Order: sequence, then structure tokens, then C-alpha cells
Amino acid sequence: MEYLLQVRDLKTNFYTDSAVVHAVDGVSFDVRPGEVVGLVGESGCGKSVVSLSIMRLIQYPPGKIEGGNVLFKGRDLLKLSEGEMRRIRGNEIAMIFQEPMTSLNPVYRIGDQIGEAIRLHQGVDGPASWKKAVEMLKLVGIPRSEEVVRDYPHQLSGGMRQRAMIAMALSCYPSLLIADEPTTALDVTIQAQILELMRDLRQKINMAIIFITHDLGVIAEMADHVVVMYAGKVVEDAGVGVLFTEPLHPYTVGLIKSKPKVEDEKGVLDFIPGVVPNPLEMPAGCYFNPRCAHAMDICLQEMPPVVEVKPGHRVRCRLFNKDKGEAR
Amino acid sequence: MKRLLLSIPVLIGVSILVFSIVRFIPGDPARAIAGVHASPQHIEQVRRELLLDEGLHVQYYVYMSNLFQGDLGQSTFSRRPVATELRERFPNTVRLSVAAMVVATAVGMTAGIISATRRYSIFDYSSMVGALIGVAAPVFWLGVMFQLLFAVQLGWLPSGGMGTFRHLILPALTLGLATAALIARITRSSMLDVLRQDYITTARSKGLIERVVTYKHALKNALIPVVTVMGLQFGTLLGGAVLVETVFSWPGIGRLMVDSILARDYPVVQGAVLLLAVTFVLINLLVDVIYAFLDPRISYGTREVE
Ligand SMILES: Nc1ncnc2c1ncn2[C@@H]1O[C@H](COP(=O)(O)OP(=O)(O)OP(=O)(O)O)[C@@H](O)[C@H]1O
Ligand SMILES: [Mg+2]
Repeated sequence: MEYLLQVRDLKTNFYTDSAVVHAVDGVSFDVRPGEVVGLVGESGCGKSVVSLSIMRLIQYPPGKIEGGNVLFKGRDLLKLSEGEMRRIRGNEIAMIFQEPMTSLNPVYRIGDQIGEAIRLHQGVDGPASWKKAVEMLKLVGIPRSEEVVRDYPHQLSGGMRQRAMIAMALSCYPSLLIADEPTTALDVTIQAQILELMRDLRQKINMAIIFITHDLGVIAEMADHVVVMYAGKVVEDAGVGVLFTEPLHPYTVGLIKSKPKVEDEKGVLDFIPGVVPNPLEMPAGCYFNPRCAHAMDICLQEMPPVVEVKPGHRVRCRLFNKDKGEAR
Repeated sequence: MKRLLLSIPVLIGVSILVFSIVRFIPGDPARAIAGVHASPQHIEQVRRELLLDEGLHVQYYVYMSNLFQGDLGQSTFSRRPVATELRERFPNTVRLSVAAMVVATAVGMTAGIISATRRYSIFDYSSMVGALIGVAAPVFWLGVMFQLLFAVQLGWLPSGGMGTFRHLILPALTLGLATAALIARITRSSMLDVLRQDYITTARSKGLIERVVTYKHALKNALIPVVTVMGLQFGTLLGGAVLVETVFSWPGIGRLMVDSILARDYPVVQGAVLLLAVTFVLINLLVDVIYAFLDPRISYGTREVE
């Protein structure tokens, strides 16, 4: 099996009162077994919507997956019945989220919440799932796990909660983990510990990770392959080494230059002028053209196609489209 | 525990209020308490019993010590001890209010949950319009309408009185409907709010079926504000009971109170008000207990600040 997951031309729209928002607009990328794929881009570019679409957790109304394929171990998740999909969620694909504060249910014990997926997917009974929950908490490095398993989320610190979330996600040894900004809400030391833990566990259970973040520093540390998104589209994807040494798309170049202080308070990138376009007023042509120093006439008219410049390195930009003119 | 202590000043306040009802009515309190048709000797006797010639603090002290001995005075109308009158009537009010609350909770929560999970469906729209009407309709009017429709026109149910279970249906519906409407609205908005939370996505991402997500993960969180409203609403319900008991000739505390006011039977009015107030306070204590059960973040009556 060469690929664990192949996302092809995924399209997810939100139908709001005023308009249709194309939050994910033809996204494609691949994940190999055991590989860590970083998904980066500014706030609002559609990273979370991609991950929820893979899990088919987009709620209608207002959101709906309108096209594409999500091939997981050869099966198209978008074509499965809801029952078949439920057997994949939490079992073969698991998720963790940005806010460990809000992603655990405040009224149930940690052990109950971890044990839930174990009981569901592995058909074990209550006491056994409880014991398994303790084991999982040990695995993610929580001290006194026999006691913590009985705690409620508010009794734990942010870092401990995120560890508990990870324990929950990994409890059925999924082959793919989707981590949506798992460390953004944590302070730097805790962040480093959680990243270390994820790297370690990924080795232990040979699990692939889609790692979503807008922190390129974290990507450099964690990812094998990087997918850069802008306004609902993938603008570039490459191996992590290639991406940082030879970024092609002007947006990627700007992102890397802006590192390490990726965004200031207002979310404005240092080296890229302007802001992400309002999803309701997308510019004609390439969505990035209003902010691009190299924009050509054609960029204002047509969305550029994706070109594979080298095996495994694709970019959506006219500058690298050999038969279409030179940069100004 | 803290809440238990807090309710003591509330009860003292209520006792002072009830104590003052009679002391500060215009005219001669002794005359008022003894009744309009009392003989001068009797009025004199009441004056002595109530120590009306002493200072207010002495009066209050005696009043309270009598209260603690279960002595609420005597009805000027029936000449029976107030406590006996109340003891006879109170269970009827409890039965009516509990039945109304059961109706309100069952109807209100079901409608609220379905509305929230099938948002913008026909069911959602119609139940919310129904809830709006339910909240807006005066209890008194509703009771009379029910009587006209189900008792007079259709003849399905008795129009008043107490006795069989069938006698309970209309008053309980009348009394419970407004609360049902309110509970439906609160449940809906609370559920919608909870269903947007991250932990609901977490629950779904585990592969749980939607029913478990709704009833296990969402409902328990959503109930926290609903229980608050229910507790507060019990006060309104007791107030509504006064009207409903009158409309349906239901022999409860509310009816007793109305009759006593009309008969200027002040000791009974005092006793009834006191009893309703104490009931209200006790219910709110119960609500706090339920709270702590629903929300582990609450302990000993203090809510943890985020
Ligand atoms: N429930 C929703 N209703 C309407 N529009 C939505 C909804 N959820 C997402 N969107 C749209 O989808 C776009 C992408 O949102 P998404 O949450 O995927 O961004 P993101 O890349 O994860 O950003 P962040 O880094 O802030 O998490 C948003 O710009 C928003 O317009
Ligand atoms: Mg996001």
C-alpha cells in the first residue's frame, strides 16, 4: 500500500444566508503510512474544514462536502454509509483539537471519555475499558494515572488535558491521526513536550499524522511533507527539506521569511503585504494576486493550474508554468 | 452547605414580611386578625395574645417562638388552627404543582431537544410558535379556555373539583403549559449552544452514534441552565397555582389563600404565604443539589471561575 490517504479535488462549501463560501476548493494531497504531513496556511484558509471533511464531520446546515474523493486504504470515505464511517472514526482515523480546554466534555470523567471509544470499537466491557484508559494515560506520560482517570477535565492543567486528548485519540491505535493545531493553545515548554510525545508515539504505533498548524517552526520539527494552503486551495506541496530550502510559490516564500514570528496580533504576515481575501469577495484569477509582487496579467484573469516541477514538488503558480511567459 | 446557610437570612426576611402584613395594615390589627364580626371582648383577647401593646421586637420574638412550635394562630373564619388548615390543603397543591412540573418537563424538554437537533424543520418552527403562545397566554385565560373546550364542549374531563386522576389533567395542563413553553425554549437554545462546542465534535470523532452524542454528551451539559430555569419557574408555578386552583375549584393552598383574603382571614393568609415561601426556598436548595450532580465543576455551592 503506497498511500494511506489520498485526498482528491475535495470541495466543501458553507451555505450562509448571504452567499456560498467555498471553504475548501479542490484540495488534493497524499499521506503515506507513518508519514507526518504538515498542513499550513494563514487563519481561515480552510485547514480545519479539510480535516473535518476527511472525517465527514461537517454539519449540514450550513456546510456540505460537494465533491472529490477521500481514499483511505483504497476506500472512498465519501461513499461509505454513515454506519461504516462510524467504524472508521475514532478507530482507524482519530482527531485531536486545538483547545484541550473545550474539547473534553466537562461533565464526564477522563476515564469514561477515554474508555468510550475503546468500548465502542473493541467491544470490551466497562471495567476493562477503564483499565485500558489507565494504560493509555500512562503511555502519554501522565503521572498518577490511576487517580487522573477518575478526574474531571477541569481538575487537569492544559498540558495534561491535551495528553488526555491524545490518549483518547490513540486508544484504538488509529493508522491516521489528524491533529488540528494541537499545541497552539499551550505554552512553549508544554508545547515542546507534547510534540516530543507525538513524535515518540507515532514511532511506537506506526501512525501517520496530518499535522495542522500555522507555525512553520513546528512544521520544520515534525513534518516529512508539507502542504501549503491559501484561501481554500493548495498552493504548494513538497518534502519538508525542499520546501524550506527551495520554496517556489511567492506565498510560501513569504511565509518562510516571516518565520519565526509568523503572525503579529492582527494576523498580518511580516513579509506578505495585505490580508487573506474575504471568502465572499475572492479576486478573479489567482486568489493570491492582490498580495503578490510577481503578479502578471494572466494571474488577474485565470486561476493557475498545478504544475509538478519535480517529483513530489507541486506548485500552483504561473511563474513555474514553463510555456506561459516570464515573470515581470 | 453554604447554600443551606444562605437560605436562613432569606427565611428570616420572609418571616418579617409576613409578620408585618398584619401589623402594618391600616386600622386596628387586632380587629383585622379577630375578624370583622368579632365581639369587642374577642378583639381585646387577640390584642393580648399578640402583645400588640408591647414593642415590635417583643411581638416578633413571640411570633417566631410560636412559629417554631408550629403555632400559626387560629383561623378567624373556621376557628381552627391555621396549621391544620394548611396541612389539609398543602398536599393538594403539591400534587398539582408536581403534576404540572412533570407535564412541563416532559413536554418542554422533548420539544426543545427535537427542535435543537432538527433545527429549521417544520417541527422546530411549529413547536417554537407554540412555545411563544404558551408563554404569552395568561394562565387564567388558558384555564377557562380548557374548561370550555374539554369540559363544556367535548365533555371529556371534569371542569373542576378534585378526586380522580381525570380531575387532575386539566389543572395540571393549564398550570404546566407556560412552564413547558419556557423549558422548551431554554432547552432548545441551550442544546444548540452545546452542540456547537468542541467536545461534541470530539464525541462524534470517536465514532459515536448521534443518539449517544445528543443524549449523553450534549444533554447533560445543556440541562444545567434548564435546571436553573426550572427552579426559578417553580415560584411562578406556585403563583400560578393560586389562579388555577381558583379556576378549577382545586382545594389547595392557593385557593385557601384567595378565600382567606376575601374573608379577611389574616392568620391563614400569613400562614399560606409563609408556607409557599418556605417551599420555594426548599426547592431552590434542591436545585443546587441537582446542579452539583450535573456539573462536577460545582462543589459546595461555589462555581469555579474559568
Ligand atoms: N460553520 C461555518 N459556517 C460558515 N462558514 C464557515 C464555517 N466553518 C468554516 N467556515 C468558513 O471556512 C473557512 C475556513 O475555515 P477553517 O476553520 O477551515 O480555517 P482554518 O484554516 O482552520 O483557520 P484557523 O487557522 O483559524 O483554524 C473560513 O474562512 C470560514 O469562512
Ligand atoms: Mg482551524
